[in-house]
Amino acid sequence: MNDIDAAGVLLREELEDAIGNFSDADWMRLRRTAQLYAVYPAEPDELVQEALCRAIAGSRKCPRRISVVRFVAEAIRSIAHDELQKVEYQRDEVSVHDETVENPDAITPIELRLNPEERMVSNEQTRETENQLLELFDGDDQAQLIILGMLSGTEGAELREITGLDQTSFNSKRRFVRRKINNAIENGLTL
Amino acid sequence: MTDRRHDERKKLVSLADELLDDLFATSDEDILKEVVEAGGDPAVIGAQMRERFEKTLMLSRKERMKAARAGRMAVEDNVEGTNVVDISKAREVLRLAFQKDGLSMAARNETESDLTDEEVLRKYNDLIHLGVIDTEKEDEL
Repeated sequence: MNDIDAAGVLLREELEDAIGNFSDADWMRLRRTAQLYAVYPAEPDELVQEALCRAIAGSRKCPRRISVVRFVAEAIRSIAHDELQKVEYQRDEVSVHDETVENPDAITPIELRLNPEERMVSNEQTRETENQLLELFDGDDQAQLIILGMLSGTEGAELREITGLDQTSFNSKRRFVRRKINNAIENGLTL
Repeated sequence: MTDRRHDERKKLVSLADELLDDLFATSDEDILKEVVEAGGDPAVIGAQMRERFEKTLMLSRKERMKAARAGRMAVEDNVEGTNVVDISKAREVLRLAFQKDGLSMAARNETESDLTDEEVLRKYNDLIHLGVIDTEKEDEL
């Protein structure tokens, strides 16, 4: 990404226009992405807004070769990963905004960091969530195997091998798992 | 000993990473169907998300305008030669200025100690522009 020259990225106005022209399906895709990444204490809507704020603030540049929806989804992913890294390395938060600007709240990044006590509670909640996810697929051993593999960080080909499924069947099962999780979140499950 | 920094949420983020590609391999039509299946209305939800984005965009534009205005004012201040102002001196000058006749009731009712440094500097500059504070006399303080 670093070697992209200025001509290879969208101008801010182009990016704003592209987001302004998102279809319902584009918004639903982003909503479903945020639902998967909005682990406590973040809310999906907050995460989408945060990603959009960063995009239009210009702190992330959108290469012309990728779709703007994918770009915003990657921003959501990046925010979730950054938060976990901050916990591991306890980095200090540095504002990217001009301190002289009045009312910077409108574009101030959301605070997702947990203190140690909150993290203990969060870890407990997360373990409960993992159990709830497995219960969603009660009686479906392959789906549970996929969930357990994904939770342990097992990736693509390796995960498929563990399930013993061919690529097409694996993709189909993975979609079933993803849809069911998204729908459960839509109906009140929180990660 | 338990690592207090251990974050169980990492596992959920790994799960999301593995499912993200599927979201982009799913057709628009199927994504919309999923939301309907879950009891949502894509048109309504989409309109809400679009509206929130429009508000965010408007706020972002206002912030950029304010930043540009602050930048212009800083340049103008430099041109006028007001480079560095000692804040304690500015407070003292402002305190004396508030005691002068001819200021509005609102201005006279203010106490410089209630003001932040930023407010002090803003009022200090305003009163210079209005001629209430004479920067040459102020140097004698």
